[in-house]
Amino acid sequence: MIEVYTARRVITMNPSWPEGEAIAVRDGRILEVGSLASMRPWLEQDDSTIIDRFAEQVIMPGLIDPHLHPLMAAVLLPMQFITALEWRFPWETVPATETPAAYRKALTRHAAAGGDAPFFTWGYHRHWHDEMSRALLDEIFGARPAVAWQRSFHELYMNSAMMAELGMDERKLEGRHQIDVARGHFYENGLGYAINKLNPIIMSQEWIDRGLTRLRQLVHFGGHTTVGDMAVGIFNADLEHDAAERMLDLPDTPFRVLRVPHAVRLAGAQRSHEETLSLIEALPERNTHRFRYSRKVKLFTDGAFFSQLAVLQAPGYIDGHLGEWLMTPPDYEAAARVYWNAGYEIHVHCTGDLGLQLAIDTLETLQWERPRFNHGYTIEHFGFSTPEQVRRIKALGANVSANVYYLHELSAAYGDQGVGVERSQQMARLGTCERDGVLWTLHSDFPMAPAMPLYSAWVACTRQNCEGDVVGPAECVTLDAALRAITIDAATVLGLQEETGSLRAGKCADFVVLDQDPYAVGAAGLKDLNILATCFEGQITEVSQP
Amino acid sequence: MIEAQRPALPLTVIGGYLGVGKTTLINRVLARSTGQRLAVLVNDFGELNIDATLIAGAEGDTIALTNGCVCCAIGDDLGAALAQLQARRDRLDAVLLEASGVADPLRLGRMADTWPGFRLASVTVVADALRIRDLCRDQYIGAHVRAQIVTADQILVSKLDRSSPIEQRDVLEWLHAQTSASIVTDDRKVLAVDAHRRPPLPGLRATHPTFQTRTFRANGPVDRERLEHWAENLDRSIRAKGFVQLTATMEWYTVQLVAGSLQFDRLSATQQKPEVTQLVLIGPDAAFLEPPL
Repeated sequence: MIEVYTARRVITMNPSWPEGEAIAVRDGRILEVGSLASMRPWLEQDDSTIIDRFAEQVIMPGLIDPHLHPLMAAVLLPMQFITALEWRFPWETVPATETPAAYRKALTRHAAAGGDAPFFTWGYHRHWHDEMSRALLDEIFGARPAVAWQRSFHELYMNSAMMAELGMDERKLEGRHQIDVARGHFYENGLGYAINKLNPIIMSQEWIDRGLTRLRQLVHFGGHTTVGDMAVGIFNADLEHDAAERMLDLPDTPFRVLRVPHAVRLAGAQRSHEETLSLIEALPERNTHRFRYSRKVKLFTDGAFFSQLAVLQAPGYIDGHLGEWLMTPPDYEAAARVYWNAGYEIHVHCTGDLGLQLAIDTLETLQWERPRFNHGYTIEHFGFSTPEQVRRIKALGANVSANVYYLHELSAAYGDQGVGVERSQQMARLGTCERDGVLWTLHSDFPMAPAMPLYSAWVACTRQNCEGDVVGPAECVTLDAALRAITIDAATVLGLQEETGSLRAGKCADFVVLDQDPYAVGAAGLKDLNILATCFEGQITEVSQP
Repeated sequence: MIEAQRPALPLTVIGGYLGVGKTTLINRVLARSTGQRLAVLVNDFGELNIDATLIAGAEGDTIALTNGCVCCAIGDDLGAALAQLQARRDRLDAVLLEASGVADPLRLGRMADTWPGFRLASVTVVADALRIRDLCRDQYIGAHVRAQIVTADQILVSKLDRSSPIEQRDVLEWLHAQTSASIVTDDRKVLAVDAHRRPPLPGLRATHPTFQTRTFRANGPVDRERLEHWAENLDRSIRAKGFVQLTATMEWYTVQLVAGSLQFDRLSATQQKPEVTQLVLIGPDAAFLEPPL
């Protein structure tokens, strides 16, 4: 049986055969993109149905986010988002809550909505929401346990009822480092203590399952038909495998997940890189139709971008603090050599330009020792960089997977308090990547940024930050490059380009249905496009709007 | 838990880049620690050279030695390791804490310094005489190594015996030009130094730059020793003043925190008595320890 979907326009992202008016699908694969007339030879050979419910809409390849973290997301998603910036979810659109009064009102509203289960909110930030305290949560939530988690994940507040619920002995907590009992405040090292106590709730099967159900919805809502889990083992590989099997790897899940193991976590304190490699070699035995490992591995150079722990070249941070190496440079090189020589595609987390320099220098050393072509070495995050580094990335054959949301949320703040205006405006140097011919893609790193590829593409094209300013306009990318970045180029970075990422005969029938043509609305309109449905391997799933 | 009577345990942080000789130093200090009961906190036991006949027992992340010393693996959680040590404080004289190669030893030291029951004796950074100048120029970790040297209280120069007298003089002169830390070459003196430089050092990040004022109140009288112990453990950037009624005398005093210690002045009979004990703290937000009121 052949299913033919007609559309106002089918955008293929295949430059050799850029568009059509219909797409024919059989057994989950594309037979042809063209017109009803052009498909006649196929339709004469087999039974067929013409489906015209999308005749007024636009079809383009299923979207791809090559780097997010399902299990981290699962911990977060059951919480009530109350955030300074808007977040759109299939179950609700979280409005921007920009003032202390609005924040308090939102808390009060959720408290009034009732229930006595512990209440968790995420997104509190002093910059917008003013002081948070145990007393405030006590006042609003009374006897109901409540936790307010800060936007950066590095601190939280809880009320008296939650402390009692967790059996915390206040006298024992007095004077503990980075715990302020009076204010119910747990941060940095003190946060570790609080999380340890909260784990029975937020790592419980019930909680994780609720989170993964939401994750499944939101991945679909964003129009994805493929995502990358770019650090399997971030908490605990067994727990992650079990949870994914239970909640995500289901017959009606409308996307596939490429899994990339976190080599540092899997190594732990004792295992050598060679021992870890043999552990990773065995992971593909777990592959299922939707969930797959390939010969990819995740490594790290420098620290988190949101915490200003990126390691920078001169002139560094304005206040003189130094970033943090996640792997020491000799250890990074040793690990990269093991995986490089075993034929792996290395995805390296780099946020600062010195972290990036280490990643590039190491690649150059490895290329000298044992040259490889088409090796898939990919720079993940790509916060700060220089134009000279982009040239070397190109010369050495590496790819870039950028979190462009840094620029949207942080460029203004990091200009004032961080690195100064020149460098903060050139975060995510993607215009140079496009001009130099580097293969690049966009990711959300969800839950660090919204998993909305069209929104990321809008930021990459317009470079508009959350204050409405255009930052580093010379680094804007073209509309076409941005749309490739969330489809065929993302597939190529994940090594799935033979299977998905564009619409051509032989590939999986993975597509999204849009209400408007992205080329017609232009870059500025990308973020307002509506995704009406997705098709994963021939199965249509409607997108429900909140 | 506030334990007022016992003095805080002196804690020495041992920092320095990979391969400079931190573990060798710790092994030597342990080997000759007769009489002094040391707790050694290390990243992992793998490198420690503990004579099997000296091991009195092992429990979880802790190994007890027959000479009264203990070794603990820190893992990810320095706090948990310190809490464990606190439980056996009576049986210890000093603590050695090994920082990993790219860690900021001063940051670790400050963290331990704010923990009840411990005080930072010194941040000691081991510098390899043969490699230190190259490491300081290293493009990736040069800035981190330079920061370790500048912020240390003392530098122990290792591997000096492997260089010529002229080279030895050169590296010592060079180190003196880089830092005001004291520079030692004899590892028997490491624990003798007990002089952490407390004033904030230039070029360091102020993690919580916004200053806040907070007021603590209590209805009843307050124990002076508990209050003094609390003050000892306060971040040095905090200022405090207020009125307290002390349990020993039931009299009212003005109290002020000066250079890390509390000064009490009794209110005279003619002065108006406050209704409640009240302390106002000014300092970086989040650095406050709640007073034992």
